[in-house]
Amino acid sequence: MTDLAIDLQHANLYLDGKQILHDITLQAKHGECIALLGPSGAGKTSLLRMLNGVVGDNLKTAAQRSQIGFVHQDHSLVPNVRVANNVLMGRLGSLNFWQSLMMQLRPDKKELAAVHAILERVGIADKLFERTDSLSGGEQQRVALARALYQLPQMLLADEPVASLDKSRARKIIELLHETAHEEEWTFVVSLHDEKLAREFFPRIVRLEDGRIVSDGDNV
Amino acid sequence: MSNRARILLGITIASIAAYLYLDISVTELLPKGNGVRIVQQFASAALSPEASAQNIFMALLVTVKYAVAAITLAFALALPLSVLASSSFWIGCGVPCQMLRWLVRSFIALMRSVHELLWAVLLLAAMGLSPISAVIAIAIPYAGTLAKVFSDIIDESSLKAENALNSIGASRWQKFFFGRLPQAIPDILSYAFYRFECALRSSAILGFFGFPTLGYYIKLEFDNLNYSKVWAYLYVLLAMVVAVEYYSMQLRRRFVA
Repeated sequence: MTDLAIDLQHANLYLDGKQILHDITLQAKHGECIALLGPSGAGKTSLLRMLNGVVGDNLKTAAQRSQIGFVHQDHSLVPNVRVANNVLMGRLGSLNFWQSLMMQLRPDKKELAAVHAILERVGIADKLFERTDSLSGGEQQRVALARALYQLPQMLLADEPVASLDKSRARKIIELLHETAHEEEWTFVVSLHDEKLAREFFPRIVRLEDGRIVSDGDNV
Repeated sequence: MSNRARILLGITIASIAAYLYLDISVTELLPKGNGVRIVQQFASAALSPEASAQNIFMALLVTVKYAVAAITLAFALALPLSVLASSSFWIGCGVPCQMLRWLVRSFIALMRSVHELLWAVLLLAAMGLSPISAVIAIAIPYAGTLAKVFSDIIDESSLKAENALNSIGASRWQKFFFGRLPQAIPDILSYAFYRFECALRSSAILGFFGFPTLGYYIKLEFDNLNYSKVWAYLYVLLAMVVAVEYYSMQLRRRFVA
């Protein structure tokens, strides 16, 4: 394992012939927490997708991506299945098709107990068997975090995870994400709109504008 | 003129032209000669329906049995065909996969392009008047229609969950079967329930070919000018469709909502 969890050197990203990211250099140690700030269209989502390895020159294999958790702004859960099924999907990357089919159709007691423990940790243990789309936006974001927790990743990426929530709920979710990343020693990169939240929780803030990093420094 | 306006104008002109070229006159809508008497007798019989309860029960039972068997077979055929016919199942797969997909889509088109009554004629000639002829005659075109609509439903499902599973290293099959397909299931079931109602009507109509469903008794009594009995069977058909509509609505609420 290298000392660096993230090591981008002068990286560029082109999508559909258009340059989205310009000359990105970003390094992060294992366990480091970084907030990405910038206006809409600055390239925060694209940078996170590049770190995830689904776009760019250095695409990651499925096995490598299974080590990276990703919490999306719109939760990106399967709406009409139980919460337990969505959380169990966190481990799809490390299972073959038949194992994952059995896990989705007939999860064993051990798997359900693990999911229950994770849901307890994110504060929605009572929602284990509820349909996901019956939950509030904040609760669904907790399910998305639970899916990432069940995945046991080494790095967590979060793309505007609180954009659709009010300020008090947004703060709770960011606090929960930050605490969890700290406890699990994850490298954690989150894109945010709210500078106040970023300053409160993140020791390092990276600012983007027009696809370029315009500042990268300690939160002082 | 916008594209939409051009299309609307084209449809309007085609509709008007169709009626003009059909050369329909309003007077043709009125019954002539004996027709007036037949209409009067038929209408007055509506108030005094009568038929043997045993015949009604047997006809109803056979009609429902054929419809249930046909829709079950059609659904079982349509589900795998719809997956193979959907473009989302083959994302990231090369030319051979696309060729297989178009082969499946062509097969589906062939199944649904022939009406169940024509399938019934063919199967009657080949297999005789057995229940399996009726069931297959309904199941083939229904499987084609279900597969076509199911594959469209699957392709129109949200990509979000599939993309999220991609970001955490799920395989192509995992993304499809756990991210996309579950989202399509409610609409798939809802459409299957609707097609069951259609299958009941088709099953009844197959009686005109001699299968012992409601249509058989309707035709028999109509030919014998027993309009009261015709009405009894028509009322039963109506009640059956309304009852199935009610129960399918309950089921849809339970499984789909």
